[in-house]
Amino acid sequence: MNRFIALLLALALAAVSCSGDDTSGDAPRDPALPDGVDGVINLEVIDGEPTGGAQTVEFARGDQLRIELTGNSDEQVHVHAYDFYIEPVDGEGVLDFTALIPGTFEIELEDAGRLLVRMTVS
Amino acid sequence: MIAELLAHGTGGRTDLPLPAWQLAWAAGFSVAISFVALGAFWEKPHLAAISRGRSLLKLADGPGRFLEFVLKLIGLFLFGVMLFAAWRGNTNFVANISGDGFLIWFWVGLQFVSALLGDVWRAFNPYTTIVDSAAWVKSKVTRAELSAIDHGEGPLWPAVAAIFAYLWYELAYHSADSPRSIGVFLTLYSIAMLAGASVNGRGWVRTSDGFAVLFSKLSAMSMFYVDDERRLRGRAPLAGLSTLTTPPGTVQFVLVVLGSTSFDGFSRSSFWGDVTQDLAGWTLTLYNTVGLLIIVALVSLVFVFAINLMAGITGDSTEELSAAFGPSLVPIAAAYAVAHYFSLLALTGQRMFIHISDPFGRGWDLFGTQDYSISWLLVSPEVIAWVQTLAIAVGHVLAVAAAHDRSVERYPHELAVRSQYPMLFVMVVYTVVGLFLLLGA
Repeated sequence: MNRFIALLLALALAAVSCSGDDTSGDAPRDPALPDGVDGVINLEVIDGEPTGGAQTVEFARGDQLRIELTGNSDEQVHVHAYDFYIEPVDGEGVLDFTALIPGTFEIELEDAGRLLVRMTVS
Repeated sequence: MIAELLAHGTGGRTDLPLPAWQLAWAAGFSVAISFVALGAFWEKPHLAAISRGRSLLKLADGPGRFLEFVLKLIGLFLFGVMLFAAWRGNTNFVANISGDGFLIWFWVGLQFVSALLGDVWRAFNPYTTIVDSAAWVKSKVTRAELSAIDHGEGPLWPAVAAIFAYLWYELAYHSADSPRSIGVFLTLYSIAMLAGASVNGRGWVRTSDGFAVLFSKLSAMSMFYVDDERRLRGRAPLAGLSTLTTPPGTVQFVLVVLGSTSFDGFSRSSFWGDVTQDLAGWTLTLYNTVGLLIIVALVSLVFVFAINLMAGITGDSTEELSAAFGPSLVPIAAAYAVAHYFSLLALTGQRMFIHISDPFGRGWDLFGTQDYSISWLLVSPEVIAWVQTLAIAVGHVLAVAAAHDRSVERYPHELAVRSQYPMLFVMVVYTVVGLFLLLGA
């Protein structure tokens, strides 16, 4: 019985201690950002592959975001759930939007289904 | 063509991680309630006595049969719509009812409905309708004969295979969203069910259709059921678990479902995301398959370990104990389903408003809802987090209560309490792991 209680307590403690630290805080604004924009996602797609692989980005709800697409892809880029699309012209395109929907979203090359970005808005 | 979305069902959006303090709260609560169960819960079994419940409504035979007939027709109709949409509708799943209809409303929606209200699917199940009709046409089998074979419950091994096939398709296969893939899956699954039934008889469907078995097991904790005399009865939630039959394979069935939902949570973690983020196609499927098998094995191992400990304490065989205590995992399976899929149903599921007006993606507007736009803020992240936390905590309490009731039914109180240490260990592990999966770490 005592050993059992100790085991339960250890589990509970493990649960609490692993979840203790909260590192969120307001990051200082990057001075290099364009006016009125809180975050930029730079996407380079060469021959259907994102340079450097898929990226993970995080923003706060309400942030004004910009996706800048470069490279040589003529494939549509889809921001899931927000359902915004970038139709590239000569591999390039820009999308400005406000991060109003919280959650984690995939940004993909629509036809190939290739993941480009996992974007978290919290 | 849109294919190869990320594996988990209708992709594109996942929940924010559960706040840490909420996780700690739920974990602490679950551990505390487990102690309470040991000391302060009832000493005599309660659930079996109240499992019959009260008669609420008795339909006369005529209207009753008519209603059954109508529900079966609706079941056949919806099944036909899904198949047709999957094979012939728009290839973009966003414009095709089959993806959201099958992966969200059928799979997730019916799990919720079954656990809360009752085994609704039984009234609609097109497979039993087709098999019955065929039997009737062939040999004029009577209704009485049909209902007699209905009650035979053989081993659930075919259902374990069937539900695993589905879960593999949903969670591991890289193109689960594509309507044509859904068409292939539904067609193969249906052929397997109907062929099996034509060889083994109608009763076979009830032990082999993984969906029907899952919905019926979940409905053991529901508030309503229809008895043998087709009377609608109400009962306390959970009470039905005490009379749930456990033919061979039941525990394995529940463990496969539980493990798969855990894998779904795990596959959304940033760890698995980093492992798989540059994979696609069959390579991705392979990784997911291995991950799925490992997580199902781990979840099962925890249970097997505990059952062996219990066997040591009580002197009963592990088979007997699995059969006796397997049903108490059902509330945890239901809780996992709610925690993982509530937001999918509430948010992405809204796309059904669009689909009902234009099921095949041909620009129809049958009900004037074709340009409905999804309200992604219908439930806030805070509400979602609370639903998840409470689901896991309440599921834990219900599971502990069901297991406790079963143990005081089997053993004298002192042994009952001791026999519960390993079971409580299992449930605390499942609960804490379930919460960690929601952390998305």
